[in-house]
Amino acid sequence: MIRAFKSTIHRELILLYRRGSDLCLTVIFFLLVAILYPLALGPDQGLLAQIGPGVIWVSALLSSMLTIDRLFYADFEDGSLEQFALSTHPFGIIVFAKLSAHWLTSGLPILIFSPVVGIFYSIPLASYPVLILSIALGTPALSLIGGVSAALSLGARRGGVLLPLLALPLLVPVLIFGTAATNAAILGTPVAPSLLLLGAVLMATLAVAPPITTITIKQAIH
Amino acid sequence: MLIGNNVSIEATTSVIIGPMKFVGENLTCNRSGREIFSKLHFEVSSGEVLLITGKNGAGKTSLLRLMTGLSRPVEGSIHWDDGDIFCFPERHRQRMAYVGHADALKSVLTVSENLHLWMAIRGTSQGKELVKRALSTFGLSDLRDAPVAELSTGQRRRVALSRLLTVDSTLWLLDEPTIALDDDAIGILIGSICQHRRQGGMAVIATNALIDISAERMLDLK
Repeated sequence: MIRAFKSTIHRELILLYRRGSDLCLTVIFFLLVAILYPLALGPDQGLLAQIGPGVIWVSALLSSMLTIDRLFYADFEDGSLEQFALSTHPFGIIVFAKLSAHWLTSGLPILIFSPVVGIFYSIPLASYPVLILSIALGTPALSLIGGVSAALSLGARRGGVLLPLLALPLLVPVLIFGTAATNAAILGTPVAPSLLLLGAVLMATLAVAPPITTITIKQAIH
Repeated sequence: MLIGNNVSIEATTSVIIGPMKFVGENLTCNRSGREIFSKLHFEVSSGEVLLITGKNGAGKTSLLRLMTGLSRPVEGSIHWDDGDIFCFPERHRQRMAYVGHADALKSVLTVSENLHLWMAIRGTSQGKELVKRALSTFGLSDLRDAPVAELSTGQRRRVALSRLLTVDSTLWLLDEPTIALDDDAIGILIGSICQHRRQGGMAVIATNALIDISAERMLDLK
């Protein structure tokens, strides 16, 4: 099972590396969206620090959704998903590996670049650990919930349009708790409640999302 | 006239298979609420080929997908000597290799990378030599390091079929395997099937094309 997990991640990373543009697209989109706001709003540091966490989280959410439609669709179209489902390994492991690979290639770059974006919003240095921790807890949930939506839109005629409509409402709790944690750190109020709720969302999605995604993909393949 | 038995095929896998029987009984299949076929029976034993023919929409692909376990029959059972395929899906998947309509290849990867990654995810022990010989059998040695994007449709089909030679599967399920193949490739495919049969394997071929292969069993879907 571990070998199947590693092999699938290896495959996904090679595919992404060969395509190249997908990885750059996520990072560039995240940076561009997040950096456009300070340019538009001007140098009011108080205002920027106030809206910063929200903008960072909305940018993170939109960037991670940017590539989620390809997570299963390309494999669905070319028959690879069928072959995965017929693998001797449990299909759920392969699906979970694909979701993990999505986080590695979208969530992790966002996590790495979020402190850079924080500078544009004059977010105090003391708040950075909370910002990073909230992104570390929230982005895997984005990939997991996005995976469910990507699976649900498989086989649909206008899956690309359907996907954000399915995913965005489900992602609202991550957005709310992620923003609240960083805002609390900036304002000096307790951050634990928001971080714990974010952690709870991650645990819940970890438990529920991969099996739902697996079942949904199997339905689409049938 | 293609004489499959005369085509020289290198032994690629060491299939050691005891006499087995793969049987479907009383099968009924529906698609989108429409009955495709009902009360259908098939049987194929070690060393045999089952040829499924029938007009478009008769249910050839649906039957093959039932055999893979990707779809379930509305009624009836599909089983090996030692159990139902839906009760023991992992054992069934170990015994079966499926080549469907789609080639399940990634354009950005090279021919050999496609095979290696597929083997790793399927759970087959990696073997460079095995891949080399499978590609050589299907006349793809020179294209080993070529990206699949550069291959013709027929060459892609050859790559998809060469996967059969990289796994120890008793049962080959082939859906329109000769599509886009030239006479040479069809000869190689027939030779491979004959060798597989001699080694105790079995094959189910769904096709509308005329294939010069002596099939022990025929199933014409009306």
